[in-house]
Amino acid sequence: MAVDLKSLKKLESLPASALSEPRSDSDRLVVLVKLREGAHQPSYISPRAHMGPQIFSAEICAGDLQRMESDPSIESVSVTQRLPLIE
Amino acid sequence: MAAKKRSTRSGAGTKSKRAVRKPTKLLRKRTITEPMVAAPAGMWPADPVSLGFGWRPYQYLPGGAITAAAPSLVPALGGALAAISSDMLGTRLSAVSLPTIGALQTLPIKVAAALDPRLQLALANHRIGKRGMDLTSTAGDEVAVVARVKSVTDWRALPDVFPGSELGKASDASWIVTGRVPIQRVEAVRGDATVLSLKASQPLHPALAATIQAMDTAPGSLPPGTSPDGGNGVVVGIVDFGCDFAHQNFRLPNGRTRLLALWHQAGITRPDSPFGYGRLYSRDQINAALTSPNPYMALGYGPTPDNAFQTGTHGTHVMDIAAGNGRGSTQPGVAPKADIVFVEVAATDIAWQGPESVKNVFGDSVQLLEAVRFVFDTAGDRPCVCNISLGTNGGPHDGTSLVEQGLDAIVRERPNRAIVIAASNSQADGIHASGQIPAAAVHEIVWRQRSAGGGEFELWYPGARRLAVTLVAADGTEFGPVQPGQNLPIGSPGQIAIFMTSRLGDPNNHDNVIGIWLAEGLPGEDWIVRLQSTDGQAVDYHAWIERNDRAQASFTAPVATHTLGSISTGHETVVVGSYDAHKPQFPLSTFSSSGPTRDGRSKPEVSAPGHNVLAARSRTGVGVVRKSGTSMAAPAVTGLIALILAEARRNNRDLPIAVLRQKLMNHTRRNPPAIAANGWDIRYGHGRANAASIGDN
Repeated sequence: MAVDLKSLKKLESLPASALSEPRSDSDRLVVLVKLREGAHQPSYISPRAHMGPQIFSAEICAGDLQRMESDPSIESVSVTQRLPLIE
Repeated sequence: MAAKKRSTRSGAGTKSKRAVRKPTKLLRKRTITEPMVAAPAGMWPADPVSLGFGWRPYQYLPGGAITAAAPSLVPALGGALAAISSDMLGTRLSAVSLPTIGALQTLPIKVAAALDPRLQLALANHRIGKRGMDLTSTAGDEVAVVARVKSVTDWRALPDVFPGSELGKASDASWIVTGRVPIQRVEAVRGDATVLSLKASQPLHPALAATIQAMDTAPGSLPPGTSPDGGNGVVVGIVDFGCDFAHQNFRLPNGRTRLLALWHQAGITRPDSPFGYGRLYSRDQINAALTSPNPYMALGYGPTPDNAFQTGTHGTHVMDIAAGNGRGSTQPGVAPKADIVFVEVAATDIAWQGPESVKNVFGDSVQLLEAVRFVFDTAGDRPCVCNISLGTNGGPHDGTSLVEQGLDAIVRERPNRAIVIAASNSQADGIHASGQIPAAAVHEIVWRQRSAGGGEFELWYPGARRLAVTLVAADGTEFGPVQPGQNLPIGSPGQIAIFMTSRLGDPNNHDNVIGIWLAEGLPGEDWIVRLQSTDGQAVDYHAWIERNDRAQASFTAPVATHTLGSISTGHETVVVGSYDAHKPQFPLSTFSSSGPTRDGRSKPEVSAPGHNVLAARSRTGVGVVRKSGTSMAAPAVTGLIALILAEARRNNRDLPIAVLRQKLMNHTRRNPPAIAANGWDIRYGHGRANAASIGDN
């Protein structure tokens, strides 16, 4: 099943090129997740690294984004983006 | 309907220019008169034996057991020695592959015909996206010149000129001098009143780095009563590409390593890999490798060997500025006794996206954060400062992106921590536009492609307002309008050529963002982004064009503010601009990006020497190489913060990030630059970072 990234309100804005094609719900994504103040980490996500009490990184399936969309503990999600070297 | 409305345009004048553009003409005849051009001195890497001390550097090509830094460069290296040829030079033509002569057309490239022919060709090559080779004496985007000038002093003071040698006085009392000039600045330099003649390519002599002198961080110049002992006891983290752990500048007097750890994110995963990926090398493993005749082979990691696009790795150079000890090069960096943690970043191999890079050297936002997490975890309770040189042009530019929030969170966790980021080098690229869209009129922004390279446009505006957007091609074809909250894919079956989105309510700042993507290969230089308010209110906006190192698009009427990199607008990070410490007035580097942030905060915080900095060259053991960029300025401040933290530690004082930032900003040097007390400049920041901030004040 396809996941339309454009429809996800909790997803941090992405470059237009990243939104042009839907993703399969089984696609693997690396993301940053921000929790709402005081919220607990959802059990269906395994954090990779914590950046503070509210932000952590994780590898997920694109389908998890839709679950996060309706999860009140999640404030926002950012799909990893390429960062070139500043010379 | 839109044509009937009054129109404002950020690219005023462009339309008329397009209207009078002459049709492309076929060449009627061709004259082959390619001159013989001698390769400039220093074209080939220096003879290793001549590097000094009778020391022979390691010169190993990557083998099966070695994971080379920035592995995407390795394929290019495979045939590098055979492939390096003079047609890679900016002053030469590259081979072409065309089916017929009739396919040749006059190219719409404008270069001043009064220039030296080789400089004209260098400019023309640059404007079609050809990047020259990185040479021992020149970077790929600059050209070595010989000039006749009225005044040597004026020549040396010219922005963008890196002076070489004075060859003598001409019969008319003018002077013959050499230097290096960024290719895109050749016309401006030639137009200066002091320059009587300017020609390409002459031997050059490197100058000494002036970073230490300009920042007063030499032991004899420190504030009275301070003794930061070269950053002893502090950890300096470098998140970059290409760590030459074998260079003598990163080794103790007994030859052992100064690195606490080296994490290669693209290395082969082991059970002890941080966060489950990459290869971690411990201090003991590095020390063991250093006893081997081939330490890179022994460790299984080495900085990428030099190639047509690289002379010395970036990370080794950066690490030396911040924390080199001068054991090999004789020129110490700013914090020569600090311990070092290096992370060679990489991009995850799944589902990434973002701008292309000429050298394909990039990380990604999540793995960058994990690199920083690793650096501070490794430092533990010790004071620690982490240096970052990554970024791109897009993003909200208000510190709300999650990667910036993550960096802020890590720094706030405990005192005695800092993160330093290069401002970015996009000031001269014309990548930012801003203004106000009238309540009842169309507003147009002209977006210029380069070499049909396509591009990506991003416009941010307040969440309470509403805009419709239409894209107009050079032939007048209109795409859109796209209404707020909608999107529009355009192309042929199976291929999207243009994609437009108008998103409402970003979850982090609740602002709206319009994005347009033009695929590479679309014809026409100028594309018009036509904007119209749909709620009867005027709309303030900021727009950026995403970074594309191969063919950077630009606005025809750029606004030279708000050009900081995509992760350089956080609340707690320290962002650094670049100036030239070799010139008496410390002029800004023309590339050094400007603030403020989109939400009006004063960044960059400070500036530092980032122009023509000589620092460690990888795989030479003792050698140095000259590089310029805000990523040369950032590590100078990283080293300075290491000294501040070391001095605070000596005095048993904790420095929360807010206090540390204030010390740095309160004790800058000014006049030059002309900044009022407590003032701030969009590019210098609060002034030139200085050792005065080390004192307990």
